Amino acid sequence: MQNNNFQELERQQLEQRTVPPKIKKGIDAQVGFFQFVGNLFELFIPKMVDLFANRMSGGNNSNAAENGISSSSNENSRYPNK
Amino acid sequence: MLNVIINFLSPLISGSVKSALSDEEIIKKYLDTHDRKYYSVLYDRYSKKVFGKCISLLKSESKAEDAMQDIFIKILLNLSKFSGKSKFSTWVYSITYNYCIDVIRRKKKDPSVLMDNIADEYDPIEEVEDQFLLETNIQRLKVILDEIPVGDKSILLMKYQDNLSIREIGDMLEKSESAIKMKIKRAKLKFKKAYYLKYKD
Repeated sequence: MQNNNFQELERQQLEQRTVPPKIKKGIDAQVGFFQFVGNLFELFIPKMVDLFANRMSGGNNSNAAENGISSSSNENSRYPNK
Repeated sequence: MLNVIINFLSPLISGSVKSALSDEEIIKKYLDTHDRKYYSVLYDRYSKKVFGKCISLLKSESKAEDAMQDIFIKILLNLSKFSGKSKFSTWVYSITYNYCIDVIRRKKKDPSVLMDNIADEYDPIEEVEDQFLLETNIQRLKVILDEIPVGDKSILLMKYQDNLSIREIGDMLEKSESAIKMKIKRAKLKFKKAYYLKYKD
């Protein structure tokens, strides 16, 4: 079988080297950050879109109220005698 | 007590299960669950080789560390785009080579690092035998690989170190098979010339 000193060179170099653990830590930190931002978007964007759609359609903000967002018109309808 | 034993054994058990899975199965699981442990398995499998390639091409450990971090983030962000047409290892190496060549190209402000120029048309007459490269003394091989242009070095590493086919290299570099054959031929010739210049015996 033919020698392949390219692969032998790689094998020797791999034996001599270790990958610094800080690289993995750096990647984990970045991945964690991406996941955090992703979760943030996943959580808030649909609510923001709902609120925006409601405002644009001039609706009674029932969704927004459900989400804990109140407005003066909403309060009037809840407390007509106020 | 039982909990302690389970906690101690679970990484070992899950580790062996994960190591039995193919790359493609792990990717699928990662994409389904976004559980970082699957990504870690891929990292453990390829980090050493990718790091070795980065050092070999960039010739600096600190640059290789930065490159490695960017490469693995790129891999992670593009995992869903991996179509499975080629082996996962080939895909990982293609990202690695392209990234490193790009870094060198930017550093040198030289767009022709991978010989994408008129000289591509030049077809050397002389043919260098594979045996000449494959049986070059390891120390000398290392020296000569560091002397030839990085584009030539990369293509020789793809062919002789990673055992990639002409088609796989072509897919990686987005070139036709005939263009890759010519690049390899020219890289071999440059290797031989550099060798005889350095070791005139």
